[in-house]
Amino acid sequence: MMEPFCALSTPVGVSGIAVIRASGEGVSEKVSKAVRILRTAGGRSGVPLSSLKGYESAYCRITDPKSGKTIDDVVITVYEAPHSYTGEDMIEISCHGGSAVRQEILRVLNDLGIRQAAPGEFTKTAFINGKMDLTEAEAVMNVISADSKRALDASNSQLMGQLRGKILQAEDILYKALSSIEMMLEFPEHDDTPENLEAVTDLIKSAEESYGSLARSFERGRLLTERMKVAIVGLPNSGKSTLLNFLAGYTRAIVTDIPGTTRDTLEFNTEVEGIPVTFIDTAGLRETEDEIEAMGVKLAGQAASEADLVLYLIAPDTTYEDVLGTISGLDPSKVCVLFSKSDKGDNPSREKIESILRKKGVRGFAALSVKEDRGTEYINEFVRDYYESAGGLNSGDITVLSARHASLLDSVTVKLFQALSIINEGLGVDVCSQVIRAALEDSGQITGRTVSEELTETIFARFCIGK
Amino acid sequence: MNIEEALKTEHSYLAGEYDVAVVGAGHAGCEAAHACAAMGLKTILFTLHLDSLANLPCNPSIGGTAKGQIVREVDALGGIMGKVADDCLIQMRMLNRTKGPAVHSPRAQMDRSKYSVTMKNLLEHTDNLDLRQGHVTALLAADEGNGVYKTEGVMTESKAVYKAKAVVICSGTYMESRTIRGEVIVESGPDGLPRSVGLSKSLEGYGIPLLRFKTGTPVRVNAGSVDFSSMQLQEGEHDVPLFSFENEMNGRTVPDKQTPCYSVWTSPQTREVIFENMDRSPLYSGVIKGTGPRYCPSIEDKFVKFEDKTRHQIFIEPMGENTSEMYLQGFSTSLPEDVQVKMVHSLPGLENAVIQRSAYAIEYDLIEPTTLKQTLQSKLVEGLFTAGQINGSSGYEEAAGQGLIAGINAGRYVKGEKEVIIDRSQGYIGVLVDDLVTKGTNEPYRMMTSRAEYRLFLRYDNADLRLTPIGREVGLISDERYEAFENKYKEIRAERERLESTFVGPTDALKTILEEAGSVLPPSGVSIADLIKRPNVTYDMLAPIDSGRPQLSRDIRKEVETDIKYDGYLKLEREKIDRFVKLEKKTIPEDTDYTKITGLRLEARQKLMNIKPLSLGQASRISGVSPADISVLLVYLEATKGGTDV
Repeated sequence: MMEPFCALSTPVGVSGIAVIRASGEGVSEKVSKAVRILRTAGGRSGVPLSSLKGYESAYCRITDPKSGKTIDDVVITVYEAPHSYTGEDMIEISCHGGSAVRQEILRVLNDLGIRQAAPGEFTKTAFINGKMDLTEAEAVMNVISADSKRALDASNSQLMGQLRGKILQAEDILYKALSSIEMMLEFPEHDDTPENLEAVTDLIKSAEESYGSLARSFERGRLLTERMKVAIVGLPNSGKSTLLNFLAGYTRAIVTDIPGTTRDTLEFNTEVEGIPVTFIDTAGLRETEDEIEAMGVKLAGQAASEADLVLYLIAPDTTYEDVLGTISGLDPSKVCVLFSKSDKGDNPSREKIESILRKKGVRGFAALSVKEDRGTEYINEFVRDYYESAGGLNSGDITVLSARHASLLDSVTVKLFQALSIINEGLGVDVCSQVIRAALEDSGQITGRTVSEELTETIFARFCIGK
Repeated sequence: MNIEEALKTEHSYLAGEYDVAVVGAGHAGCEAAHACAAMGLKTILFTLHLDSLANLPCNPSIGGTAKGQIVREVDALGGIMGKVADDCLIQMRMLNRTKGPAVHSPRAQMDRSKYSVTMKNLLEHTDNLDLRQGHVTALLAADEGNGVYKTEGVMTESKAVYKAKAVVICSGTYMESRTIRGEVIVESGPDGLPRSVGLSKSLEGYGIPLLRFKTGTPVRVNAGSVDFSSMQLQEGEHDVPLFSFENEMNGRTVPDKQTPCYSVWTSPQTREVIFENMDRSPLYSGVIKGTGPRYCPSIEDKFVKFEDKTRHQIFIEPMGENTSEMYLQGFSTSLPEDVQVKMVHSLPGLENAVIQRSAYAIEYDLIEPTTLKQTLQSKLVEGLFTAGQINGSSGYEEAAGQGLIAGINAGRYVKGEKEVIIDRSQGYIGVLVDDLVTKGTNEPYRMMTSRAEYRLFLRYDNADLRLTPIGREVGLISDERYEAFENKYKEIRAERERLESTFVGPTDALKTILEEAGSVLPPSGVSIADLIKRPNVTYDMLAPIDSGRPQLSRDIRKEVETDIKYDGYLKLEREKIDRFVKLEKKTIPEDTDYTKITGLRLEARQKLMNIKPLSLGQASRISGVSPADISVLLVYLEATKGGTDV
């Protein structure tokens, strides 16, 4: 059996659900590290994924073993060799259709040692394992070439081109570092040969930073393919629905003076300076005995935790204690505070609240009066500021497109880190060179450059070698 | 021309019948001829001039980075370069000592004329081998139809016809060569020797495409006219093993008395002289059309291409013990002779130097190496093998490595035995041959350690382990040597196991040793192997706390230490090699018609038809063949059950 590989098998694009397949020896055992079974088709729960028999399904929760973060609740079906499409052990994961979810799951699979499938690999494996008859060989070969052409087209897309450009720059730095090392090894007596590794170390560090920031942009890059979610949160009757209605330009939410009017969450899609945004109005955060309102409050908390940005509204009559009590459950790094209804006067403890929350790391503060149309421009500013810091718009950052790219970039970063520690430990430069080479091979899987050819070219271009 | 036609030409005569005829007695030809004879085949070796057999027409040294490893590999396979070099060295050094064991590279300065005489003597005393001075002008082969030819022999300028079942051509830089010094162009081989005329035309007649390359060599001066007082001295070293395992097993070491080398920097006048006369350089006036090597540019090239570098280093190397001739490494040029004099006199200490031979560029014919199989047999003429510069390489060691592979396979071909291929994970020789025949080259190809993917594994110290079993299988390793080889590796394994299972406590003695290496004492007992894994801790350093240590040779100690220190990285490299070998063992039938394989891209079809790779691994290294094409091929091979796992 081949080393395990995986791929999205439903079309790319937004869909209700998506299916990810993985094939190869012991694939369910490998995946089980990221899966908790909530309930199997037979009604069991808490058992490991590898205990499932062929054709058995289970409702599972997938988490990222690295961060412990939940990614999605999915249904996994297990197939046992040879009774599967490829003829090998296989699993099929039916997950939710958002691109972020799909990419995250693929990335987790990559981390678990299940690599991204090559074009046509499922079909090829099926053929080689005798799952198709001989006359289908031709069709299979055509599938492979068509798939690889599609992959090539995708990689030639504009966005991919930008990413490639960034990686090529980082690669060039690495080739420079590697050619200096090779010069030391290849032409030790040459006058061009660098005397120590100082310059090389700097180059590796700089490449490591570039690759690292590209790898990190994967997380932030979700925003570019999905709408940014902005939750409007606050105590009851702090003006949340008024704000949503203002943003929507029409009465989307029922506004009354009775606290607790909004019980469900209300969503509204719009664009803020070209950024696709979903604003979510929520129920006021308070303890309540009304069962329906209590559910609304719970939903509000959930919406806030799932949102990219939280607008936290504080009315003039809200006390300092109430603010601290309700804001504590939120991640301060994504909270912006709006002192609402400022036409009705300032909140007396505004200064105190600001200084405490600033220390907690809250992103920004502004006064707002929807009635007098004052301060609403701050909302645009908060949204744009967050979006840019996450890798969008004017930041000039490039976003990593697929989970495969992310895992390759991660692996480059790890290897460069290793290369630096080899230099620090004083181990041979030959080993250091091998590790950088391996990193460039990973990177080359994205850019298509072959190390042996590029390296020779770089040495000859940079150094004057003679006998 | 076939053999019958040759025998019908006027004044022709049948001069002999052989299993193998080797044309050219340079470093490739000598290895090829020796290997064939040692395999029991009746062999003849032709040379244009017997007094310049195994000539070192350029730098008087053997070894160096990557090249030193190749000499070791040639020796491990049962070749002769290492043995002869050991007999003729006048200085030995280990390059890259501080840079990690994978790139430790032995290099020796040679007594040039002694090298030639020693090699001639060795070959004259080799059974089954005849030496013959003669100018081979034609390859004789029978037309089998459909553009397929089969080797029958060779014919010389004097109309002597030699029958041979296999022919190995190692023509070096001699085919249709011309030397260039500025405006002066001479139809000559290197070192004023006769050139080879007609042979490349004869090869072309069989459909073999020809290329033309250029290389060059610097000035030689008389040491008596040189002032060495201000120069930097470079002495030989004594703690370097010899090249040949047979010398190692007999306890021989490098000579105590060694001859030094020197180095100087070019002066501002050197640069001035060159720029003033650049219009007379044949390279820039377009007289030289052959492609020159980038790694060995002439001194004028260096000044032009790297304008910000105002000076370059020149090494002055002795040409032998019984001569005053010195070689100026780094000072190769094709500028006219009168300019050369000014250039040499601009060097500090060489103001009054007497030039004994001038520098020149040389152009020569070679064949397109992608028409060869990995055995170095031609795909166009059965039974024809080529090795060395005729295949686009450069360097004595690269030639010797190919000569040995061509010789071994020519012998196996005559005997009807299975071919021998050294793959990229087994040796630099494998990397060299695979690069040439799979990718081709557009300049003289010099081996570099960075060309090897598995460099950590391809070390000079383990060449025997990698290749001696193959040399043994083909019949080039004696019983005595093989026994010594097996014992060496038994000792290495045993010592490694001992170090892994011997534990030492945190004593004061250990503390002193570790502190010296900048390391700290472990809190509890630890194996000696684990101590060796620490940075800056060596095997030898731990002797005081390792009482059970057996007496072992330096080579064995070094190899054990490297294997332990690099264990983790070597394991990773092993895994990579395992994956590589898998593809390498998936063979492709030679008669595969790639034009009929649906799903292959057009470019891939053309490239594959052209190279006709022997394995899926080789196919994957052809530029223009994508991973998807390889998948298609794999499916095709499965579908037709054409490919076999060997």
